[in-house]
Amino acid sequence: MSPTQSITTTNRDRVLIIVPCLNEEDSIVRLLDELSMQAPDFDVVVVDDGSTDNTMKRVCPPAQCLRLPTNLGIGGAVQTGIQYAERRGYDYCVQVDGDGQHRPDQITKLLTAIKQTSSALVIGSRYLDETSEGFRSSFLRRFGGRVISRTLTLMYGHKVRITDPTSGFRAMDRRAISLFADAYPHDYPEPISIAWCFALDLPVYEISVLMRERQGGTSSIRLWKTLSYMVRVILYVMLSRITKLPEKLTYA
Amino acid sequence: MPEQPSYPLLLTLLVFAAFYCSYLFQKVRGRRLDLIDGLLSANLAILPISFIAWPSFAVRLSHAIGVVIPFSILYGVLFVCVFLILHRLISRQQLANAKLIALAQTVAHLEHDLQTLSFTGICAKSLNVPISESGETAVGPGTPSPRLL
Repeated sequence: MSPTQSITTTNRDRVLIIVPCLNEEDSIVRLLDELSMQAPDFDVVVVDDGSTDNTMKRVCPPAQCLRLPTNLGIGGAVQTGIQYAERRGYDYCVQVDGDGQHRPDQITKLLTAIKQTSSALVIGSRYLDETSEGFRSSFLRRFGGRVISRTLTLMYGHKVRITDPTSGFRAMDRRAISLFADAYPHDYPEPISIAWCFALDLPVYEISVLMRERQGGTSSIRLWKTLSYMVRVILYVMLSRITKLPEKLTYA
Repeated sequence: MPEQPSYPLLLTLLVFAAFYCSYLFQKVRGRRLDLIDGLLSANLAILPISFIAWPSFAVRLSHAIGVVIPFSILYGVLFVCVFLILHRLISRQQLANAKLIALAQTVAHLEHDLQTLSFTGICAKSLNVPISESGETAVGPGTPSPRLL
């Protein structure tokens, strides 16, 4: 019996895998095949963020597809998936990027961690385990991630230091689903959502996961933009310290 | 006393202000422009005329406020008008953006629900199962029925 099956049969929690994608026709089929093989008990919803290629046509049942009429960016796409999870009463949802960078065999690690630690948000980190052999991104991005991480710690003084704040590979429980379905940061959603959780005292945890290089499509964050991305994220993290935060926490 | 402006200059400004204000009025009347935005924009044409037509007013005002160059007041007031217009534009753009995101998400959810509904209808027809008004199929106990919003 696979670890995936052992988790779903011991607990009858409903898990939704959210796959946001934009022009990922090259990688989406492979990802969905992997998901059906390695996470067969979980529902999958693909959120097509206004793709201009054949991404949507490649999605076939049992995976569901939500097609956004216009490109909203990663934040809007992920929030659409989270709203789907909230409306259908899922207990957990896992964000897996459609570019194939996130390995479906690592989903169980995220779910095990979120259940064991009772965290609202569990981040899959590329950098937590220094000895891991998975894809670890470029030096500049690692540096940017480290600076953002330091800023988060500095602003919130949190005990758990997040080593990979820009990771989109993450699991959420019902508290986080309820919160983010109502309000989700659309600019730099990954680090800002962590900041919101810190500010609202929602437990955040991080585990080491293996990732690989994107299987197709183009990254929304280009190399030359990394530095500007880092500066803007830091400003947004600092801003999140003083901005009015969403109050809706149904499951808190 | 400051010199009086030439009539051709004053006439040009008046003609421009009249045309511009009538254009704005048409827009406001047709509800294509908000009243406040229309008034703020009209000020951009009216204020310079008031300063040019009555230079003594500008001088007195500058003395009262303590500004050395009288027409700095004009630039200042115009800047405030432009600032207010920009501020209103940015606020509205942010609000429209938030509404657009919510609308796009709703469209995506509704489209998915419609597809689920039509799929339910096709299945029900092929199995000859009656469908209630709410879209639920009248299936037997224990049979999973599609969950709709």
